[in-house]
Amino acid sequence: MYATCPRQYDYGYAQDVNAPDRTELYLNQGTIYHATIEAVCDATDVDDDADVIHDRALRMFAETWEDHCNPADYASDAHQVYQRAENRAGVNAFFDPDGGTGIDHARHSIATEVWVECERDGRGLHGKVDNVLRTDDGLHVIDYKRNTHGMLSSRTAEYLDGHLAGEAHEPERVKNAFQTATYVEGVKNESFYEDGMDTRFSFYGLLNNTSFESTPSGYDVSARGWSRETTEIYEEHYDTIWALIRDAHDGITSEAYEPVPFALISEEACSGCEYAEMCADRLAEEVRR
Amino acid sequence: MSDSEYPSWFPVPEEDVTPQPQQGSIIDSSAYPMRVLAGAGTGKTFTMVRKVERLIDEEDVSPDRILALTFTNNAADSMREKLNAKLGAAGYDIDAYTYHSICNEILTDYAYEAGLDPDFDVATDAEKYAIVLDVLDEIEYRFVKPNVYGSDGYASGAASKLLNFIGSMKRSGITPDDIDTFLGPAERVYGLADLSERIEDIASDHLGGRSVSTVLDALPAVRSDLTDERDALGTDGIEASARDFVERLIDLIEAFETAFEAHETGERELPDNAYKLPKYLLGGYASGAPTGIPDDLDLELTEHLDSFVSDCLTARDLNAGYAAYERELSERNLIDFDGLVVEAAGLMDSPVGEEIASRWDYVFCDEFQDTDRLQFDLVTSLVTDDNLFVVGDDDQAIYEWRGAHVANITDELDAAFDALTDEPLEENFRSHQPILDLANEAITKLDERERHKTLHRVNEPAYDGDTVATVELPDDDSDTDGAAQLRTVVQNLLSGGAANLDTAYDPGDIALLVRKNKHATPVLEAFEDAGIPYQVAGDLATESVGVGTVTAYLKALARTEDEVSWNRILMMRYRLCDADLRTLNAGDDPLVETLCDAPLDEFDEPGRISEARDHVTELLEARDAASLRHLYRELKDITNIEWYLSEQERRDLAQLDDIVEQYGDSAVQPPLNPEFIDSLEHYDSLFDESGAAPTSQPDVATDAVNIMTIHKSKGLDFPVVLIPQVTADEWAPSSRAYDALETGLTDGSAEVFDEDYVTRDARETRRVFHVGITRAEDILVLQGKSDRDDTDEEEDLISNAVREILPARIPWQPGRSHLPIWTDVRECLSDNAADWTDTLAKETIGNVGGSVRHNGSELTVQAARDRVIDLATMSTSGEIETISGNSRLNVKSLSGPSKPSPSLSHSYTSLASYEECPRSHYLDYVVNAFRDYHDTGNTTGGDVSQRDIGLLFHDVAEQAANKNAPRREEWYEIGERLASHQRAEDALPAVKECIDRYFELDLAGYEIIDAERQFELSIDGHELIGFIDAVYRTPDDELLVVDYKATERHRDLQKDKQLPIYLLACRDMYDEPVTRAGYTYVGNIGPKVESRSFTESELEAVKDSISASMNLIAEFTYSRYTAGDHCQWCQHNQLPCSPDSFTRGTGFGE
Repeated sequence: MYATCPRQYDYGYAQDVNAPDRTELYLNQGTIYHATIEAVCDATDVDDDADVIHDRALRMFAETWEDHCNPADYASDAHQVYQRAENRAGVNAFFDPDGGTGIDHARHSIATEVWVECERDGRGLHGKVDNVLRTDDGLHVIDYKRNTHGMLSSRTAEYLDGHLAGEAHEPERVKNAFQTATYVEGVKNESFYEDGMDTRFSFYGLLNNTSFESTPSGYDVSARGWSRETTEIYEEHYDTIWALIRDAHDGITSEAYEPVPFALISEEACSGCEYAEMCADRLAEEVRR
Repeated sequence: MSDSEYPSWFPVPEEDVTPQPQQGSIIDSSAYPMRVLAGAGTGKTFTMVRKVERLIDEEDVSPDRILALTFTNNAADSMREKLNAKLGAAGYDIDAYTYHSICNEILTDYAYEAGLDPDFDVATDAEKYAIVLDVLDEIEYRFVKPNVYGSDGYASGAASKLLNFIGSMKRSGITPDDIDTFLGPAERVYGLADLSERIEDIASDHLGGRSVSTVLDALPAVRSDLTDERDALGTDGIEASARDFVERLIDLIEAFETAFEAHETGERELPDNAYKLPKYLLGGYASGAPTGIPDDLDLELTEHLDSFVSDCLTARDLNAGYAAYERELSERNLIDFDGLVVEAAGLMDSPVGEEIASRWDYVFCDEFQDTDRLQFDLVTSLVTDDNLFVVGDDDQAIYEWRGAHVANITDELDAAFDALTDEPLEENFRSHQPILDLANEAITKLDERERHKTLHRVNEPAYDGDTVATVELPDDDSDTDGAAQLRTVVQNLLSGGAANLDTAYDPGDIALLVRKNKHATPVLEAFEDAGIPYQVAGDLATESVGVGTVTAYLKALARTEDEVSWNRILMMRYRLCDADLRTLNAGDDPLVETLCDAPLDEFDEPGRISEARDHVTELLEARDAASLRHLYRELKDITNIEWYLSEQERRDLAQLDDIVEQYGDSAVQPPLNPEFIDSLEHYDSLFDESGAAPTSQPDVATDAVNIMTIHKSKGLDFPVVLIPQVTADEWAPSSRAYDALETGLTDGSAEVFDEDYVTRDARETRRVFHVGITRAEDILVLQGKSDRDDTDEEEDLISNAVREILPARIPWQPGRSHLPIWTDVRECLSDNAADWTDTLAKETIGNVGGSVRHNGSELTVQAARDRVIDLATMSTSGEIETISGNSRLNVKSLSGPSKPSPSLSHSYTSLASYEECPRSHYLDYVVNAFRDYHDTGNTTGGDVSQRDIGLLFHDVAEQAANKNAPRREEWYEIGERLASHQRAEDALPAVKECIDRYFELDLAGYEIIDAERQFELSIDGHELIGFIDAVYRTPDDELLVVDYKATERHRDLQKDKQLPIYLLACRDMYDEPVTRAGYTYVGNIGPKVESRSFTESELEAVKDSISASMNLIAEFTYSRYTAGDHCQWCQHNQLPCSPDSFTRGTGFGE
């Protein structure tokens, strides 16, 4: 949030101003697929049959949906049913017994929902890892997302330099870089890490592609997911990423909340900010105009 | 009322207006039924009112036997007022209704016959919104995605889809049953879903030949395959429509066979690549137009079938929601706006129809081109003995897209009434002839225009300036939307310095009329930057910081956990400093609790915290018990929040006022609740077209540039009209969802593909343009840009070949979605049209906005503004040590006569103000400064201001005089009506006391000669204007000028100059001498009349004295002031010049 706008961080974290909930619905859905994957991975052994894993996943999805979904968050039942179908399709495709990535993730998972921490130059970072896989060469950390659209990629990694220089506003990709750094470094402090292990990190978008098929008796939803690995980007842009982390860390600890450069931040961040309506920096602009 | 202007509602008798010959023959004719096709600005409503008046006055028709129908409440009210002004009380007895309110009236009277509960209510937008959300689960989701909202809120979700669908169907009188019958079961609709794909496959399979002859050889196979497809289709409903479509394609293939055969035999030439056309037209190319076929041909015909079937699939799903919505309305005993007409038309079709129609002998209809099919049926069923008078303008039909049926005023009327008499109305009273020439010329581009009108200006006043001006949009990137050009144009219009202008215009004289809302946005910003005042009509509401703060207050009260809104209010209304806001946000307690409970000494500015605390506590207490409306009023009263808004923001707030007013059931309005906040947030996206109907007309600002869509401007006129972004792209016509389906359901299955809806919209777009042009009186400014013409000769040949080959049953023509509107404008312009691109749109003539001197240097306004902010910043951070004399900001236009003084009209009140205090005069009458903040807790005399009481009493007295209403009860009645009209109910009890006092006076029995008589007095080159409250004839046959005083303030008959000024004015107005004048006190210090006579020499002395004052006033100054008792009435008594003992009283500006 600090990378998005220091003032937003001030309101959201430093002053902890309570904003009306608007994204409850998607937060809940995130909780549901995360909980499903966690439960499946925890329950799966390396030689479990793919069909068994798939059935387990769908069963666990049904249970977690039941537990976490709040119908009051939806304006209609039909909306809820549709969102359920979409998420179920994502889980179904992920744990497809015929080559679904999730089968592999479940079989090789050695830890889920782990808090990891790392420190560099006195600046500590921590975060929660969704899943850690044991690979032939070491560890592969996975962070599950609804989709990976607009996230850090080899094509867009150069934007990080722009953000650092104050010429571009790329908070989402900066956040992806922060996550990558935290997980790649943090996992090395865990008990399951052994010296010399290769550590990798990927995002996985469960609903990267969804399709809605209409039939006379109803509709079908199908989904497809894929991963986006950022390990190499982290290595290539190591200095930039750690400079970004330093900037944010020092800004927060020194309570530097002035949104600079303002023109860029206001153009990029204000429209999506839940504190925009109370933001003195933004309103002062408007009032002055 | 002494010096104010006529109130807008005031019925102005039109006695001195003599009808023009065309109008006269319509008014005097006794031919019925009659249709008047009346061009813009030809006085059609005037003519209609006069005709009604003649029936009542000369043919003794009882007013209540006449039914007059209009589209807006304003129009109905204005018609009633006009008739009343002319006919007295009888004018009010005429049944003037809107097309919707007559339905409401009929249904209320005949509820049982209509099968309704007589207590039914008309559903508000909020209720429709609630019902739509309730029935979402009734939709059968197959084709429609069940998402209620997405990333863009509700705009594209299922709720929005359902509302739009219901609106489209209902306005055409289509019921859920009709839709069920037309579509049949889902399987049947899905059976057609891939028909267009099969047709494309047929084309792709057979028509890949690379010459005319090979393609010609394949055409019979295509025809045969298409025939098979056709024969597989049923013959009713949706299948009949699809069948008809395939038949049209078979015709097309036959036309190609004929053309290609002719080519092969050498009888006909075809351009290169013509052999690709059959495959292209049947959608056989997977990726659009192949090489050699122009992209903008836009003729892949299977798309039309595809979009029709897609609409049908959507309708198949939504129809269950529509049916549930109707059930729900009925269960809640509600009828929506469209439903009123449906029910009433149904009732008129029943046996009681005749009885209802017999209530009226004559039916008059205004704006008939905007009626829809149901309204047409309703009107015809209300007519008895063919006594129908219809007026309208087919060239101004711009609501076809909302269901209006343009043919109602032409072919449908012809068909319904055999002996229809047609009278033209083409004499225009509004626009200068060059504007009309352009309007006349441009509308001839309209194909299928059956009736040709040519507008001529009559009684054209002298005018010396440009009338039609064009501005070419710039090519460079610096001002692509041309907002800077329009800002410059408006600055020039306001300054009036340019030689091309006849005069300087006031902001209220100017209107920016836009085709689309988005055309206004950049211009608003440019106006804002330049400090040009503007008012945006309802449907263009922009984000307003001040309105946002008021809304935040409601949000915070509704959901106290919403700390973002609390922070907003505390910062913007209570001006808390950052440190205090942080203190409030710190800790785990909810902010509102900390605000109410924390010890005040924890804060840097405890006074502000304490004020906020008091207000919030009081409002939270009121929240649960009071209605939303009441709470909102309390909120405004207690917090005085409006004072913190700019004038612009106060104007913007009117929309929120209306929403609050409308919210909830009619009987008891609910208290503020989170649902209201929800609906506030989603209203805009769901009801984005509300207001875009012919049934609403915006209020027009007199002191700001009016900005509205052309649709909203219908019926209005402005001295200057600006129309931005007139380009082919921005004015491109398009088809709309359900166009084809609606046609199938209303006209029949075989009519679905009979018309190209894009071409239809192109015609409407031209009419919209015509409406825009004809709003202008003096100057029309059109801003646009020519399209790039990059079609080559070969492509033109292809388009021409297609035009020649297409058979009559194919309605789609090449380039149908391209409307070359700017090219047309340029063709239609006369030689006299001015091009302002490099003149008035480029630079300001004269020093617009002035300049500012500071520290010895001349600064631009912008630089001066920055300087002020810098200085303010320095002062708050303690960096400014001393203020020297030359560091004063010196605004030339305010302090020195560097340019011609603003032209001032004087009035008695302004002169009195000057005599009391030159500074107060300067602030109120020269620079029009806003009033000081006032603490509402410190009012005297209750909540109602003396000013409101005075205004209402004066209005009552005027109307009573004009209506010749001499009895107290009649005054009461007028008072009640006006109070409700002006939302001044609070003042009514006090006004009734004033009326009582008035009737205790002998004066009440005198004959009234004149009321609210306006005068203009010219004294030594100065203009003095005003209104005389009343002139009475005393029993001694003497004329007595009277000024009513409803206030507590006593006037000095010897010193005050008001009465002598009136007597001076009377010299020119009356043939007999008027020497006596007096004050009539009807307030607490009355009742009494104090009058005296003035001699000629006394009057001359007063004249000299005010002449001297007016000369002095010409040297506008802020620096001189006089403090005294009058400061208690001053709007600016918070300035240091006022004695400390005064804070503002309520009687200011009496």
